[in-house]
Amino acid sequence: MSRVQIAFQDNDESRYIVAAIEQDNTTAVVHYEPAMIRVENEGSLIINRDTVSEQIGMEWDVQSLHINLITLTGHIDEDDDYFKIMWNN
Amino acid sequence: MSPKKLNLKDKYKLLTRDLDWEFSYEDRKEAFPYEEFEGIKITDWDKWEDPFRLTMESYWKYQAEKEKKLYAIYDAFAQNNGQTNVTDARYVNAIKLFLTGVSPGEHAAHLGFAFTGRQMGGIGARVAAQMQSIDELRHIQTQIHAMSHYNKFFDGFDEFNHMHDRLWYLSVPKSFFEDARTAGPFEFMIAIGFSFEYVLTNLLFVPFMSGAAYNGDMATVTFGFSAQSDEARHMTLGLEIIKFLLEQHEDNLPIVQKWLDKWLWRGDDDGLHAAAEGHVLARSLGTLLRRCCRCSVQRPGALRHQNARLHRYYQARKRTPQSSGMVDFLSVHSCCCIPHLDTHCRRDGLAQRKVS
Amino acid sequence: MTIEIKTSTMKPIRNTYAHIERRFGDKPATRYQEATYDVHSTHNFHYKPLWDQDREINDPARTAVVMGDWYDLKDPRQFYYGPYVQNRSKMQENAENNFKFFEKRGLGESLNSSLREKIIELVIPMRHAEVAANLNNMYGTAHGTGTAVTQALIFEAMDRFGNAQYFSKIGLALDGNTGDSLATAKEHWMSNPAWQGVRAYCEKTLTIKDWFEAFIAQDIVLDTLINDLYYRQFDEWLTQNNGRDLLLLMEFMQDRAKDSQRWSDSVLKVVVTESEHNSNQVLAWISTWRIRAQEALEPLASALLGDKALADAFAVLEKRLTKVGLNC
Repeated sequence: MSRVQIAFQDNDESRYIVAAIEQDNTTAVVHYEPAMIRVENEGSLIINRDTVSEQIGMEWDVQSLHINLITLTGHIDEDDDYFKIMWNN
Repeated sequence: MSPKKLNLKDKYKLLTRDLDWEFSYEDRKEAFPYEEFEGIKITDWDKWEDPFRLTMESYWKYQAEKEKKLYAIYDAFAQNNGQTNVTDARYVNAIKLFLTGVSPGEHAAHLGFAFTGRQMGGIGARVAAQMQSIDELRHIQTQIHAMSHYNKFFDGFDEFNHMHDRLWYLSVPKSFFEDARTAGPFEFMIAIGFSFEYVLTNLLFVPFMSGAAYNGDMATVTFGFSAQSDEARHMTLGLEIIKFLLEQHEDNLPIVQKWLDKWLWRGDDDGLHAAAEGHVLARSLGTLLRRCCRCSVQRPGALRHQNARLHRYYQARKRTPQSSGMVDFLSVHSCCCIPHLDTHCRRDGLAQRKVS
Repeated sequence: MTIEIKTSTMKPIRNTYAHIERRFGDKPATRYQEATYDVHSTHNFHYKPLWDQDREINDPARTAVVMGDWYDLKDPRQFYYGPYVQNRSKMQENAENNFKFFEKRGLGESLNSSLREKIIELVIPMRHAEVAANLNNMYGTAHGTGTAVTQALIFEAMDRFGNAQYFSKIGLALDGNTGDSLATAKEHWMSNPAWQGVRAYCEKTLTIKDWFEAFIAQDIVLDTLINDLYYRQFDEWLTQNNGRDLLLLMEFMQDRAKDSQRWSDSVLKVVVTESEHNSNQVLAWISTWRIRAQEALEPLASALLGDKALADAFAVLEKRLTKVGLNC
């Protein structure tokens, strides 16, 4: 199966998103690289608005991940309360 | 009665789809004259799945936030003379290659996506292409501004556009983008949207920016990562275009396959980037080639489920993963002198479309 | 007591890029200048376009207008990407608050039903006209010469797409997010006699080959008239006819049009004052398209505001053209 990945700028805001990813995707692997946090998982990866909001301590807008996003691989499925990347095969 | 709650998908659909209409007073083919000459068959534009559901409002909002942060860093970099913090002055040669080689390509991509953003019949695809076009304008301008400070203290930046149009080793990226821009809208979308943005950009820019951080160049890291977030949207557009074309009609498969073969070859053999990453960085993160092989082996998902095969050139490369950046650079040197490909019989400058 | 702070300075070896220095002299440049001037590639193209084999990839001959220097079309707003998105972001924040307020206070429900019908019939279909505007400006971005004008054209194009979405949002605000108003508005766009002239005009503009002619037909002729009809005359009408609440939702389009006109006025002026050739060419285009616009807008203006409205709008267009030295 193919791996999906998502990478964020290594800053204070991304920290919470990555923590939420780790919570909701238990097999995900997080790599810390210069100025970048990269997360990989087999098949798919989901970011839940509620989990991130809980981590941050206030309402988080899913689309605001664009501000810190660097890159990703996989097909995207996004809605008001989640952002998911996956491969269909 | 309180208004119905609309989720992102529904809202986006209502705000964007169905804006277009069937013409009655003019022939729609006159308004969109380039949709058919490449042989691509579109049976139903409604099957297009919008990769990112960004309304114009959200676009302005989030991009503005990114710009504020980006320019704050540029200002700080200039005020602190950040160029004195790089590992070694010779590192700066890598970003000279960037401004002269890559930045004009961003501008070319901007104009190319403006073209497809006007010429494609489906509004969903057009909007995505137009957003990419304005993103690419963002990239060239933020790159010019990032390098502006370096330009004040180092040679080799100040005639970037003049050089791009004239130097032999810059003819490689120039030729790449001009080949794409002179193609029809669908080939352009596959060439740049898929082959360049989806396949290459992660291999090129992400490690390049990481390398910049490793070498202490905060200005480049900042615009690179900030730009790369736009690239995430671009990549999904590239993935969607290939999926869409292959699902629209079986006759599209041989055409798209031929484009994949051509463009993955053109992109992978770009020695400029091999030089920039493998050879020039004082502290290197590994060669482009090694990363290409790793990536194409690990993440073939995009192509596999579409029945298109991994470009045969990658298959060959897989068998020889251990070359150094210098070898890449030299092996491409000879290719640099032959920027024209036979696929379109364009050696004499007159383009002839041969679709098999 | 004087305070002396010791600093160590680093003297730059040059102030800006060479092409900027050639234009403006050896001094620090503005961000607008560095982002704009001489960015278009001009030499040694490797291929000819398959879709236009008589010309180069970037070619000034894609318009009949001739400029000694296309970079004379400097944007008075000095928008490059950064300031553009930041400016529109502020405007959209305002608009977002307005829409939220309108929904929260149930202003859509308290609108009288004949006014609601009128808006759905005669305002919401503008969302389709804005698509044509988006495409016509995008055409200029792709084929125009020099980043000074092409960047302003893409900003205009994206603005118009934003407008299309705002008009759609007005519909949703009036139909409780069901989308019914949008379906009805589309029917009006396709078959209501009030709109057929405008639809025909829009379709025709999309077949124009010369990108500056498209700019004239869209941004100068049609837009001046539509802006006056909707953002001045209809604005007044709404104020007098219990429709003030709706103005909350149209504020973005109004403010944006004013901002954009600063730019398009400047483009027109520079092009027209460059030479008699340009002035004559632009006049010829204006003559053709204003006749078409007159015919196209008559039924719409009548339905929206009454018989005098279009003449008033044309007076505004005359004034605009006279200001830049064009006498029609």
